[in-house]
Amino acid sequence: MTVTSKFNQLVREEPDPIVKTMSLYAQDPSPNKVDVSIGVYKSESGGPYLFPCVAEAKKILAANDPGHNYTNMQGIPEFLEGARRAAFGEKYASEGKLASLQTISGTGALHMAFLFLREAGYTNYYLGVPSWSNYVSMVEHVGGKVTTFNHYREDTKDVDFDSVVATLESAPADSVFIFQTCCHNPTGADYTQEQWTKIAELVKQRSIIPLLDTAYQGFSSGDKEKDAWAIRHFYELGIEFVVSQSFSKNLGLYGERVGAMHAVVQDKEFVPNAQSTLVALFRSECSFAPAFGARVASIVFQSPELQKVWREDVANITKRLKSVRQKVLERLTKLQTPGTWDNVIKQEGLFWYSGLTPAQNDRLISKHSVYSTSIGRVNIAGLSDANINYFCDAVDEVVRAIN
Amino acid sequence: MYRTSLLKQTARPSVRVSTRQFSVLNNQVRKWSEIPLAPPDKILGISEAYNKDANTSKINLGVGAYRDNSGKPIIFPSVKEAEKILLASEVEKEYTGITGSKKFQNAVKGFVFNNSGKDVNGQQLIEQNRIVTAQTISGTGSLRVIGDFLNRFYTNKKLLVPKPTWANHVAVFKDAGLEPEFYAYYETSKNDLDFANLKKSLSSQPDGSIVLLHACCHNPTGMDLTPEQWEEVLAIVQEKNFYPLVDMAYQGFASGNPYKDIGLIRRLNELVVQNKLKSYALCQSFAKNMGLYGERTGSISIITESAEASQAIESQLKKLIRPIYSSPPIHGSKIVEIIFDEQHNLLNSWLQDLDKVVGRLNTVRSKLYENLDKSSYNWDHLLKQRGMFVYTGLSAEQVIKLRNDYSVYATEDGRFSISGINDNNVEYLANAINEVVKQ
Ligand SMILES: Cc1ncc(COP(=O)(O)O)c(C=O)c1O
Ligand SMILES: Cc1ncc(COP(=O)(O)O)c(C=O)c1O
Repeated sequence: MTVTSKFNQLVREEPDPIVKTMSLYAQDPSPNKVDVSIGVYKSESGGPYLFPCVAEAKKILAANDPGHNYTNMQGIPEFLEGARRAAFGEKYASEGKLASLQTISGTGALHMAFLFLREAGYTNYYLGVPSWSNYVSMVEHVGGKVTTFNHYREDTKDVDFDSVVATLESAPADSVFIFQTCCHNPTGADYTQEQWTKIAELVKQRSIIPLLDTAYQGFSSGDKEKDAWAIRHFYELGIEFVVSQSFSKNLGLYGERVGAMHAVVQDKEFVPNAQSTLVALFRSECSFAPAFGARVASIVFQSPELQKVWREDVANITKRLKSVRQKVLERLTKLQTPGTWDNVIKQEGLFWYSGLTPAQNDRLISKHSVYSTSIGRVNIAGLSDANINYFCDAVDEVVRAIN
Repeated sequence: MYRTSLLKQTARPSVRVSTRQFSVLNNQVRKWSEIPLAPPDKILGISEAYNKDANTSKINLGVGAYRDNSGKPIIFPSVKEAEKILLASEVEKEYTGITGSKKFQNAVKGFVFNNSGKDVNGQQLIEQNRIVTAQTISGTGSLRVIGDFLNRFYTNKKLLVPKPTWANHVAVFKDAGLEPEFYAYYETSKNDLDFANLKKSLSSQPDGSIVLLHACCHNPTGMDLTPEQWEEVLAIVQEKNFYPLVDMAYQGFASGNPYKDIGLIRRLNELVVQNKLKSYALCQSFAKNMGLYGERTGSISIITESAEASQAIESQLKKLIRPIYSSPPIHGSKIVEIIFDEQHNLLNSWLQDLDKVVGRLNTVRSKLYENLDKSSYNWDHLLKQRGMFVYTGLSAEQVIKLRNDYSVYATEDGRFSISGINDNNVEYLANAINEVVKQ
């Protein structure tokens, strides 16, 4: 019998550019090669980093093995409790105004936020660019529409706040604005407290729905509490909003997929509605979120000693990132590399949005085996005393060679 | 930005209209305080009621996870051993690929399709790169991903599912934008498969429909097709040019041996190799057969027409998964990798662990049968059923009576999870059923 092709319309998709970069890096035989591409923290020695608090929590978990049973569709209660406290602080977390769901890490939290908002009738999104490369396809995946505005000014290498304000002032009511709370990916350019205050004011005035994405809490100031300032400020003002939260970076649990989504419902009576909607939506996506990573996180959340170790871990990481930034600036200054480079110390978190052009980036790879992303986003954690000078010399060379 | 050159772009709905009854998409509301309460999950509701019941003889027959003879959840000893090896060697937790690791994908392919070296057709398909496997968020996640995938790229939206079927199938596929419809499967009044109607209702469906097949241990009836019956169904599938979508959540629970429970897959592979079937898909879960429930470990595999088609399909799967959850969780999948890694020698102990679990289920099944009163009701169907459930045929009324009068908790379709039954309560349960049936 003859059978026709079922999927003959399919074409092969280009891989995610970062995946391509990483495989090029893996194949590069150069002993000097530097990987500053994917957003994963690296230790001083350039290797992967297991948080000491996580290593300890894993031991405790193994000693009290709870097995692998199905958990709760909403999520593991101790995990959700700790996640709420991490984002909203002790006091607000316990006021009963939050509907929360354990999710497949930060991406899964955003996905559930988009589904939840669609369920509530909101599909019109605003996003400051450049931004994390996944947002637009994620919103489009659930049938939403994204309008972009400038988050960043190339000339000042800083937040384009005029553009943020103008967009908030002109966007239709009930639009959703996606904001990153700290360590903006990829620019590292965050809002100041004054700017957040202004944003919150406009959000209230214009009936905007904020979606606060928090993937690097702690990596800006070194203090998780301080980095959650915007979330708590919005809460205080009685704004209804959604938070997507990832523990990939600030607990180093990447592959375990540990995250949560929270909806702030200011009228407590309606929390059960939001809560049951989240669970129903999640049930037809994947039923349950994975247990292991969330159990490890719960142990850290519940133990005062491990909380302390966690705070120190985050502070140490941030300290190292800041010192690497300082050294990069010093070296580029010493080399008198053409251009202004002080944005490297002004920006926060894992990323330095270098301003290098795609051509300069290509040359970084081809001539120096330095792998950053094509948009010029450098993962600062990929640098250490062993390769900072090599890296800076390479930057200096490509800047002089191509301008 | 991750731009695409998708040819069939227009086939993709720009706004999905929600099928959920409480959807408010079409009449916009102010803030989410106006979202109505969603109905709770039925099984969870039963567990809650069970937990509140003070009767010490109470029995929970709603659980979907295995319990041992003392009513406790178990950790498969082989899984525990694999986890020890993992914990001792793991030095980081960095992301796995969007579709999981090659090692996991190959383990699944070797296990399911190549039957550990005993299936020439499966082996050929693997060698020709005609199987695309992706790790997913357990079985539910794989059903959802293939649902989204078919909605995007397959020509038909109609998906045929057996009546009855796993409670979540319809919701998952509807949410993915497909149009599920039932085909006849079971005759409740006879407590038996209704094969004549099954064939008739499948034959009456439009050509090119997607058809969902339970590989084994049909949930909830426990009643599977014989190889001869599969042959007849697969003839209809070929004739009608249906797209087979196989759901395999209980591999190993029919015979006690996972390699024996894949008859349908082996036959499908053969049809593909013979070019009588172009493509099919398999959703697979390690939740039950490794007891990895909460770790969410499973996979989707698509059998394709060619190595080139595989490349396109794999890239589209990645593009689909990336905006949903980026990448799957690694703990469970690393345990699976270790169990299938020959150097650790754990495969045989796992097979024994699983056989023991299934052995208990079958023992309990016969004990229940022995204790049931055959004079007032024909219980022979119990012995034909396979898997974690007994599909009793009791009416909703009788189930409610069991709950109210005997503190026996089950779903109203009369499906009893054998996990909740053990030596200590099997007689109490049988007696309760006998009493309720008599009335
Ligand atoms: C801004 C931002 N949001 C969310 C995420 C989600 O990450 P994950 O799904 O690993 O938690 C990332 C990861 O890179 C990110 O940079
Ligand atoms: C028929 C069937 N398919 C799929 C699943 C999915 O299970 P999980 O998502 O836990 O792997 C189940 C679980 O009960 C099932 O019974």
